[in-house]
Amino acid sequence: MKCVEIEKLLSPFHDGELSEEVRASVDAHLDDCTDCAQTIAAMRSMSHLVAHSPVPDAPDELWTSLEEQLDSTEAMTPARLPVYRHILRLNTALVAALVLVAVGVGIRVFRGFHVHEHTMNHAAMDFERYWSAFRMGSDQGQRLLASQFETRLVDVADVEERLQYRPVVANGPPPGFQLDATYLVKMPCCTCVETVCRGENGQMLLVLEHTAEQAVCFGNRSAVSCPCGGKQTQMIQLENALAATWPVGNRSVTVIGVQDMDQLAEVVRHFDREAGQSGSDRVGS
Amino acid sequence: MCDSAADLVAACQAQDHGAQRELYEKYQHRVFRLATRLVGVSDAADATQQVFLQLFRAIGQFRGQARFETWLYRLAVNECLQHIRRRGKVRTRELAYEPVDRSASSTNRMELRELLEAALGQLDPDLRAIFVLREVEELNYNQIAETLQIAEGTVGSRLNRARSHLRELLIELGWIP
Repeated sequence: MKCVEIEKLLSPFHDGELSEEVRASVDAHLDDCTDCAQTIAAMRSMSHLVAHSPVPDAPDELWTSLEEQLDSTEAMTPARLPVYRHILRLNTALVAALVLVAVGVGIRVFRGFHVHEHTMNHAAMDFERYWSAFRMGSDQGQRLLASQFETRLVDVADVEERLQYRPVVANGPPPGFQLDATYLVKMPCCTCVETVCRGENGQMLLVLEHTAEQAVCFGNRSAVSCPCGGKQTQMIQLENALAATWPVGNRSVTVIGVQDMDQLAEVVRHFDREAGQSGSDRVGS
Repeated sequence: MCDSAADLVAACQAQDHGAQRELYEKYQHRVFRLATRLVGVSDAADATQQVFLQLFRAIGQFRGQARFETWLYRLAVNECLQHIRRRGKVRTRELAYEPVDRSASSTNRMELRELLEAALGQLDPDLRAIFVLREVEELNYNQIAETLQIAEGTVGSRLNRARSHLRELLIELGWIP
């Protein structure tokens, strides 16, 4: 075998993952090829380095700290702090504006929500649970969603045919993301389009598009009203991520899993731009 | 005291506090070791705590379709990668560049353990994860594929890339293979 073929097999060779026959071929090649032999030698040295670099023990107080968080009724609050810290680092003025907007608009939001309180809480998705499941793998998240709502794997053409509009994600996912799968989800408010996007760095982003006039319901979670990416968004914090919803044309878009305000602004602007280019109108209108 | 991992998981799913402690004791060393190699010594405790908080939160969703250890590794890797992304965003705003002294005198002083941590810290996080699962946790290719939810056939090529990049980084820091 030539070097180009052998190179692919060097890690499996080093890790003992090759059949006897292939292993013998690699062995024979290594006898004659200095470059490949050096690569294998370096792999062995790195393994030795790792094996002889001790890892300290976990601090004794770790369980105590964990236990306090588990016992607390606000168990997850400290875990959420990092995202708030990011917001604080990003822009103090933005935070001040956020607080003012939250206080000022909060009453209006609360009144608006109060009217529909029963309906909305009934219709609310358990975002925390859903997000938690999705972080364990998109299949688990999707299974959880499917256990609560009727879902169907579709492509964009199906969406246009069934819902008579072109979803914003059809024009492309946010920069740095790829479309993983699109589903129709029958929710109490309407049938929505759910798209799972995956970032180059493995980040998951869920995009929901509703025809309902009001933004997707966050249930009893208190949302913050916040201008972001040129839109007024309603935002809640999940564990280590944000979920936000805002109007796009006569529909609303909700994203779950953005990392911070900067990324949210990018996503909002992207979908707003995409909606503008496509007209965000009903098919055939 | 639970006799098996399955009993322990079932007890944790029933919110048994003693079982949570037992499960923590059983797996904390493995999780902390993984976190140390993925996020670095200084952040390992925070990341480990986050892994267990997330674990006890999500354990109701564990249905036993995969081995518990695979599920735990998946969760731990995901949490550590999230930790790295969050930290990276903050750091890149605070510093235009990470100053690294690569002079020979500095590398001579650098212990091998520190050298490994410095090189791993510069390796792409996804490549770091696969390297650590293999070299530190000693998972086989099938277990790595299940943990990272990738095809088993791609594990070898990713490990090739991880090792090749890590070797370059180590050499830049003064390591002699």
